[in-house]
Amino acid sequence: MNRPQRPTGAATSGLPGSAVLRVDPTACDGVAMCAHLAPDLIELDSWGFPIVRANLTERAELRAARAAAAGCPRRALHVDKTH
Amino acid sequence: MSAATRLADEAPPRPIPLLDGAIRYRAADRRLLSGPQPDGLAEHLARYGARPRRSGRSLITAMDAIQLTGRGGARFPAAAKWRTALAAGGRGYVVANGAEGEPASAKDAALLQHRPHLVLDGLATAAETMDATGAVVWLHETAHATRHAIGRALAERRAAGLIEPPVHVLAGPDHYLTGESSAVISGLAGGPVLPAFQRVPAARAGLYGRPTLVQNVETLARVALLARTGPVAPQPGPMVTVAAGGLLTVLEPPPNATVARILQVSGVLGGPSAQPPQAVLLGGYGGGWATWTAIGGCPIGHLDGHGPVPADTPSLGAGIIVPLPRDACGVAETASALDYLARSSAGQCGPCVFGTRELADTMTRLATGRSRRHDGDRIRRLTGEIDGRGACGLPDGATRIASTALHVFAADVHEHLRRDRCLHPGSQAVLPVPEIR
Repeated sequence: MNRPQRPTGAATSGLPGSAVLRVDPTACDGVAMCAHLAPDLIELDSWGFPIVRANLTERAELRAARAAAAGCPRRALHVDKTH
Repeated sequence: MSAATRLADEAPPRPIPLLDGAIRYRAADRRLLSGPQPDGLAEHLARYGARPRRSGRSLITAMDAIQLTGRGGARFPAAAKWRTALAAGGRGYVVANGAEGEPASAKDAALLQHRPHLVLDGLATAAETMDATGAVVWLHETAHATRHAIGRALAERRAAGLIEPPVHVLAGPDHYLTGESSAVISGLAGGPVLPAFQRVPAARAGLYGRPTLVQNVETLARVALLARTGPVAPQPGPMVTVAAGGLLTVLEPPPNATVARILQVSGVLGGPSAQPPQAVLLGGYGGGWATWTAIGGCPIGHLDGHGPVPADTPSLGAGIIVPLPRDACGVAETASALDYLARSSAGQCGPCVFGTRELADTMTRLATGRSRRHDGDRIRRLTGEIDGRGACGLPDGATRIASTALHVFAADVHEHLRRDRCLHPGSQAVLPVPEIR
């Protein structure tokens, strides 16, 4: 379950800026898979925890964010609609 | 006599106060030292009248009109929260949050112990507006005097046959984070009383996924007053706690009273010849430092969000004012505050576990004459790195205390960094930092 979703219609038709990538810092263990999967959106801090660029403005960013969220072994990343 | 002092003495018409007179606690054990007679139900009704059945929507409009913000420290607009909860269908939970975590604050205890009915009126009104399933008073489990006062007030209300939603009194551990709103919700749901990551605001989906309002007890007391007076009446100033000399003094100064005047009234700034403090910690450990020059003449109403304040003024937060005497070391005080925050961390979020601790350790090295090269830069980098990255605001508070300290105590920081020398050797610790069990 919860496979990385293929971007289809409604899921990716989000307007620019209408989705955010967020990390649940209580769930994150600093595995850093996300930084490999979405290097343009995520950098790691001094201790290896992700600093995410929240606002997703392009389709490619949304795809990368979803891939990072799906690849997180701690399920700590969330792509949420802003409204 | 300064213009501000004169203003504070005139100011008709007078608003209805939440409290009258100062209430004083011993900081070490929060024992009540002096205060007015607590209100029983009869006194409460004589003072304020019965709780009006004011309909929810017009009350929310009135909350907007007076720009009522959360008095627990976060200062989120209350009306916006209530609208969100109503838009999400209401029928959730309302919490009167009296778990006062800031060690330098006692205003919530003062209010709950002396005006319990005002808080319970506000809670009942909030619960009715939301058509709530449950109403809770949330406290620290060690707050015995407060719990007793609320229990007695609830018994009086039952005996008098007041028609209002039933209230549960519940408590969490005596910890800095117990009053953090997501921790309250987690605790009420039977989970650990620790902050949680919230994907949606609790006002939309909180306890058991239902719209949940967690409001500070002072916020609810203000709602109770507002329901009686309407927004046109003059509103009382913010409740403040002045922490100095081992005492916590709770006051309700008029909005035009300056910080200097408040310290005078609380007995901290003795006579006219007394030295003013060098700086003030505003908002407690969730707040930050301000120089006396910048803040001494500032009216409290402005700090409360109703007027201009000097640039880089920290938030008044939960209304905490801690003056730092001239002979105290701001670097040492900042180090002890940061260490308290690091010890208070729930230990859940990486940036806080590592970053808040490293920030505290670095500042402690500075304070104790063991600074390393680049420690100044390290503090600046750490504050940038951990700000906004926890599930709760604890690391943000640490960030603000540290970064405001670098400015406000620039001369001290320089001496500590360059020469491992303190400009105030042998100074006594000022900030209250409780043990953590």
